[in-house]
Amino acid sequence: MPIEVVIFIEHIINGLTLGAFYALITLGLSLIFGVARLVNFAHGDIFMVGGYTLFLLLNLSGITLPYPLIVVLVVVVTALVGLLIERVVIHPILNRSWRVQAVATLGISIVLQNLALILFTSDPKQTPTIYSRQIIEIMDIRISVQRLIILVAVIFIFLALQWFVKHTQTGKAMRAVSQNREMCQIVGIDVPRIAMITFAISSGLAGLAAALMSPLFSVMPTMGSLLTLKALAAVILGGLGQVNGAFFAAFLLGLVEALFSGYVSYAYRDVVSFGLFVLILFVRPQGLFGRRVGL
Amino acid sequence: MKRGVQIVLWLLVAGFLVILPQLATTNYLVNVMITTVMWIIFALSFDLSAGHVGAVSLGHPVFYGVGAYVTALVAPSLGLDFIGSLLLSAFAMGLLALVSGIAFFRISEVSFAIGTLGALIIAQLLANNAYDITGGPMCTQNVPRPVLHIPGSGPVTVVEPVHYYYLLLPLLGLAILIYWRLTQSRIGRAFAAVRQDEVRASAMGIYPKRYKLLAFIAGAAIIGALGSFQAQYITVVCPSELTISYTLNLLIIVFVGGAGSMRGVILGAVLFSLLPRLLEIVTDVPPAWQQLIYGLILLIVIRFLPEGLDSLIERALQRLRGTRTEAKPDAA
Repeated sequence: MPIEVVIFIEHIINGLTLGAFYALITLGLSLIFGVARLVNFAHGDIFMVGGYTLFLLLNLSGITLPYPLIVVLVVVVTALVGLLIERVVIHPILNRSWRVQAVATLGISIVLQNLALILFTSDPKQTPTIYSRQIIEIMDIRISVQRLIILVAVIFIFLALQWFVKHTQTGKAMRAVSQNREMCQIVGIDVPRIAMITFAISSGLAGLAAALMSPLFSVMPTMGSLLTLKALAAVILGGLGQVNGAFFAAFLLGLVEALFSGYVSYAYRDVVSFGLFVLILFVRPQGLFGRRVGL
Repeated sequence: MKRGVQIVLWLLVAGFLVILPQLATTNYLVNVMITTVMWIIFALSFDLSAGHVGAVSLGHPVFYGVGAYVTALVAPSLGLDFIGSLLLSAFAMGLLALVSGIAFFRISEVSFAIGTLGALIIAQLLANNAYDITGGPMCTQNVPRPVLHIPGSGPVTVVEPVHYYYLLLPLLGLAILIYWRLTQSRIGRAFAAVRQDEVRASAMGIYPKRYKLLAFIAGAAIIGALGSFQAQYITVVCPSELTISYTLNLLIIVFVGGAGSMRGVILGAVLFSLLPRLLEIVTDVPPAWQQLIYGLILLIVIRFLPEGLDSLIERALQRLRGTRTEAKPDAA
């Protein structure tokens, strides 16, 4: 194959993995927005907690845990952290305006980031796994196995989530709450409990993203800040509360970012993703796939 | 409070602020005072839209940083002096707020908050990467210091922090005046109507977008002027003037102090600026611990004092007067 084509395909694959990664982060954010109308600025920091959990589990003295088990443990830990945050901070202010809640999540973000800074310092930590160094080659195209794992995992999670919200009692309740909170209270759905479960699932997804993706990057206290914003951009682009729309918008952002940094300018790649986000907002205020919502 | 008492109180505060630097023995203390006053102005300008019309512009520092860059990059070539630069930055940022506001207020509140934050990130990335214009991380250096023309003697270049402090005070007065005039008037009541229920406000003949724009532009102009001051004070403008941590600090100040209340916001800004200085005297607190404590304070205040520290003052004052009034219907 000509080298240009190989490079192009590699950029596309990078874009898809980046998109898959953003999609995983975005799914959680979008769920929590849909169900609890909560803009969670701490979402990326829960991802960061997942990153450090991964780092600690990979460096346990004496025992080497298998990677799949580590992934599960990271998801469990982040889900528990999410649960704790929901109980202590979000739950008591569930009925206040979205502004207050958003500021509270920013407060959580400040606390988590500085806690990480105190515990682990600002030095980037490497979290390589056996898969992040393995490269497979198909027709001159080289892909790291870690990237393939992410792509497959995200598609699997997306389908599983679809099944979950359509076929389980809790999933149906989540959909109902996102459509009409007052009505749900009237028919006896425990809305705070649903919000709590959603928060735990959302945090677990952030943990999964951390367990799968941080082997390709490195772990630092601020690793989640820009990520939260990109994922929020995807949530808005997808149409607020539209989980599927947000999922595709995340892939779009990943592709645009990978292609732009590959072909035009690496330094300006974030300018383009955020610029695109703001521009689309002006043209289509309800997002790419959204209907108008009141908030 | 009777009007007369109020005026006397304000005059006392103003007199106190004027005399204050005479008590300061070191430039360090004067610098602390300047930072405090700057945070008050910063927070007031932010609260105009965040606390009063409910439009939380998380990108508010854009107007500060770009205002500073306007003074550093444009004003010298126009040959503008201190006040001219201040006015140029204020005007430019007001204009930017008008144009961006027309676009940004088309979108929902949530999108507005995140969209403006996106704009802040874009602004910082541009400032960091456009070496040719801004100098990138090397910053724009050698911004001219203010030159005063005092009758009788020649032009005097301002260098001493004390003199900067006296240049800053009128800006504080102006910011307070604008904030006061906008919020304690018919306009202020329209602001509250827009914040509480846009649809109902428009049904009563209040056009929400007009009032949102007014608050947004006024805040931007004030903070643009402050950015200009900062540029001429530090004489260097860096991309770090567009950092998101300014946004976080503003939220801490405004929501801990009390959103939508001038007293609360000023209290928040003073505490925010002075607490770390006071802590320094007792013990050496690393920045991460400081931020951690701020974050925790923010969470605790949000949880237990929905209207900020201001509600404590309000309660104390009411007890003094022996009256009780209904709590405000909404906490911003």
